[in-house]
Amino acid sequence: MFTMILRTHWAWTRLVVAGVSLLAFLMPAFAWRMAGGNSSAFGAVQLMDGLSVLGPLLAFLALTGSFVLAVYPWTLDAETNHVYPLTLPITWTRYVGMRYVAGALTLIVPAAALYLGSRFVVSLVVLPPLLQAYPGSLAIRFLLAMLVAYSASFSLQYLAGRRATLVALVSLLALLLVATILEVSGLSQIANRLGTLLFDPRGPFGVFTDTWVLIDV
Amino acid sequence: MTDAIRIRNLAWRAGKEFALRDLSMTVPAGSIYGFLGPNGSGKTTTIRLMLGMMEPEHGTIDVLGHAMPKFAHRALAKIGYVPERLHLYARLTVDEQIRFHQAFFPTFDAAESERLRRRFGLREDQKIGALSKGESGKLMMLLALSQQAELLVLDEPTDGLDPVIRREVLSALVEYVDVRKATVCISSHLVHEQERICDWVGVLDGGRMVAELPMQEFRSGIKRLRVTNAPPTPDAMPFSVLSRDETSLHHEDWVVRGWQPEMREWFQRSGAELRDVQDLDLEDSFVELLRGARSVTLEER
Repeated sequence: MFTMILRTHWAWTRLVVAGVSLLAFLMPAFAWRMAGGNSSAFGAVQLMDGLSVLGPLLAFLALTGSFVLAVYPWTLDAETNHVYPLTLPITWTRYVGMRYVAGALTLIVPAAALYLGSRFVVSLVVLPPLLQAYPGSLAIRFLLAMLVAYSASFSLQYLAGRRATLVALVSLLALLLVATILEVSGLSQIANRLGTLLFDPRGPFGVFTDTWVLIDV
Repeated sequence: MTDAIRIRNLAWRAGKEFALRDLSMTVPAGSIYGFLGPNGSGKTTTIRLMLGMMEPEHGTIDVLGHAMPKFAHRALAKIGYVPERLHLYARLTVDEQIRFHQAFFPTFDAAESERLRRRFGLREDQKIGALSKGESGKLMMLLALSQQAELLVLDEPTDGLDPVIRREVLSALVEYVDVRKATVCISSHLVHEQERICDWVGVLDGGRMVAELPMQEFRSGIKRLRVTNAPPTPDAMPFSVLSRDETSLHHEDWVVRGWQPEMREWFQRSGAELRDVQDLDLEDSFVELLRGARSVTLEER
């Protein structure tokens, strides 16, 4: 059962996965080229600068790629008003669970591509002993970012269905309202704390806001 | 278990309006049950509720001994479903769709599926989105029949198909029922088609079950009577009058249900004269049944 779900998921999303993977693979090399393509120890410093610029782009790629990967199979189900899945002899929860896992597994491909691209670039640069190479951790960060974005998009689509946009809008408005009320009532530190909780490197969305580095000191 | 489907006092509404109200329906195991009704009468909604796709407002639904929608996943393992419109993934090929379906149904017979694919002339590499209406209908029927289901629920399976394909699909269905002794619930507004294959009939109109009876009774029990000097308000009638039209002074045409030849005496007793008893074909019976039900509904209002 799951194999078939995975197979259909792959058949439907392989072009998107291939596109995101290609971009993820090329991004470290592009950063290196932007930094001058220097192989010396000085090149490592330039590479750090290049990646500081490209880091947010990786977050953006993770966000948009995962969104498409979550939404596209859902739209194919929705084209049939979900009638076919509802006639299968499994519970809806199990069906949705399998679709989620199948989609989550395909995220490994772009992360692996980023890892390979990073390894390739790191192999071109002479790294001083004090600089450590982190292609693995960069790829894991990318994978986590995609997983967070994928899970959020997927949940919104499958759990809220057609009301997804409404749910998103209401959530956003509620968030703004709460922030305004807290600000007016002089409790802005609570809003700040909430923001910190969400976007702090240890928070659920911290993976998007933290620095994206291929090499670190 | 003697009933494959048992629905009691079912109600469902979309928004404020009730689409189905107080609907009861019994499909005996092993029967071919024709679910008749005009477009928009609630057939598809009833079928969707029957398969556990939607939650009823109130009432109970038992399918193959399983309470729906709670145990839908258990019942669905034994049900082959052909919906009104194509419900399959447009981007899969015929072969991919068959293999996908097979993975979910342990009783799926791959050899039978291959036999039907050849018989229906479907190519393995055809994209489902590119199939014609007839080919889509054949593919959905192929999937339902290959499942080796105990119950087939077919929602207008031949609607829009040309006569050749319709005959092909129906003959595959009849063969299947003959071999597997399965129960079939087939909804349609094509009355003549139902007449050929069904042994039970349920007539739905405006979300209400107007009549549910064996096909034989439906075929022979509804008659047009030519009556002279009919009493304006007859009482204690042994049959039910579906419609009553004045054709000329003192002459009326009655369409009655539950007619038996010995009921002629009732006319003599009530001072009327029965001049003729005419058979109605199934379509006329169906139309008269609906007319009768609608006039009753209007009177109730």
